[in-house]
Amino acid sequence: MPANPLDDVFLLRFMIKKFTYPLLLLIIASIFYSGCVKNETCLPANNLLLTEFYEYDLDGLEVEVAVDSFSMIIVGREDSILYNNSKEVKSFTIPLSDSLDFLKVVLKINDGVDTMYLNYLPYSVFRSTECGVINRYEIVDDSTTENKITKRSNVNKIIDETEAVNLKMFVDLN
Amino acid sequence: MKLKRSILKCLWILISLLAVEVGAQEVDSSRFKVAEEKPFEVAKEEKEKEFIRHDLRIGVDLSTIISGALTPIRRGVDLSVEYNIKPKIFLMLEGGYNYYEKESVRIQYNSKGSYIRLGFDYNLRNPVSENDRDIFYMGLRYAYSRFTQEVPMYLLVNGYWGNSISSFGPEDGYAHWWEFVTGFKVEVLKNWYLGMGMRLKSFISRSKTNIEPVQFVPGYAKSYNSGVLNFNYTVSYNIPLNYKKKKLPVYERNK
Repeated sequence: MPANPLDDVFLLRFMIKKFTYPLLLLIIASIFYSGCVKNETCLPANNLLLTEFYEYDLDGLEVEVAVDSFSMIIVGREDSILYNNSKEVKSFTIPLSDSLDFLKVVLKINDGVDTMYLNYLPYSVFRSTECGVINRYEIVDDSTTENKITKRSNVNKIIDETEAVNLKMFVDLN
Repeated sequence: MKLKRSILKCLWILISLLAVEVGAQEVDSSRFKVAEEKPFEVAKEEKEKEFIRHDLRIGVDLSTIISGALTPIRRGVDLSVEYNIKPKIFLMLEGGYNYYEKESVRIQYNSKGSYIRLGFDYNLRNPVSENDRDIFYMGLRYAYSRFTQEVPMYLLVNGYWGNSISSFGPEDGYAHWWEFVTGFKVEVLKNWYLGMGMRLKSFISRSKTNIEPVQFVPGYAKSYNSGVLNFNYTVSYNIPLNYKKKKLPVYERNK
């Protein structure tokens, strides 16, 4: 006697026959998929060149110091006073432009004034469609007058999201 | 005198019968000779239909079409052709075109191109009847894609100097990858199949450009170097090719 399509047993057999593999596959797929989804963390862009003040102690070792009074002006730009007689400054940052490759910065360290010349190269880095494109910067050349500044040390030429120290600036605080 | 005539008549009949018998033997002998000298030869071949299981399935990936209809992010078409070279082994040829676009305040990105995949599927399922063609398959693919990606606009955020906008122009690229595939196809209507599949993909090699890492490779989907897992939903039509013409020789006697 042929199977009645409306028979419950027939339907059950039909469903088992048709959907055993699909169900197995769905289970496997869901296990795999849960392990494959990943969220991207977007580090913020950084365009600040970070400089720390140092001096040598009596033993000739490098020691991080704080400047009692510090002011900074970027030449050629209005409202460019970024530090205005700031107290106990251990480090300072210079914001880099995406459209320029040269900056002249006037630094007032306690009662002395120095000028810093900075050549750099901005370049774009594609990260992802979620995190967008950011600029990173490479220091090509830097120089200063030597009134209060005695020496510079370029420790990291790349300015990027890591926000690492780029320059060590040795100053004479006496 | 009568007796003499009767004896002669009997002799004549006997001779006649003998003559007929000899004649008959001579005819048989001549037939045998003809058969010996002019044997039967294949004069022509006739073709007869023989049932051989063949599957030539043409399919389309529904997931690409549906996602393209629901969201403009990803559009395209993915077609497949499969043919069983052996009862359980299917030769697979797949190809398509994809367009991917993502836009936000910070960036616009698009990638477009075509791809082709070549490989085979092995049917793990034993059919329960001659016409049962549901399959549960596993297979491998080699794939190749050529594409163009572009960032028409991106925003650089700079709190001090002000934001600026720039772009990356179109850049051509290529990619090779392999795929491990598994899935099933179930006949829902006569010769019409619905299927679901899973693809595990990993790059063999790909070109590098300024837009790196590449965000979307047509056929591969979103690019992750560690591999990517995709699901696809297909509808296929099986072109009935169950009957194959078989050549049958027809013998004829030479004249």
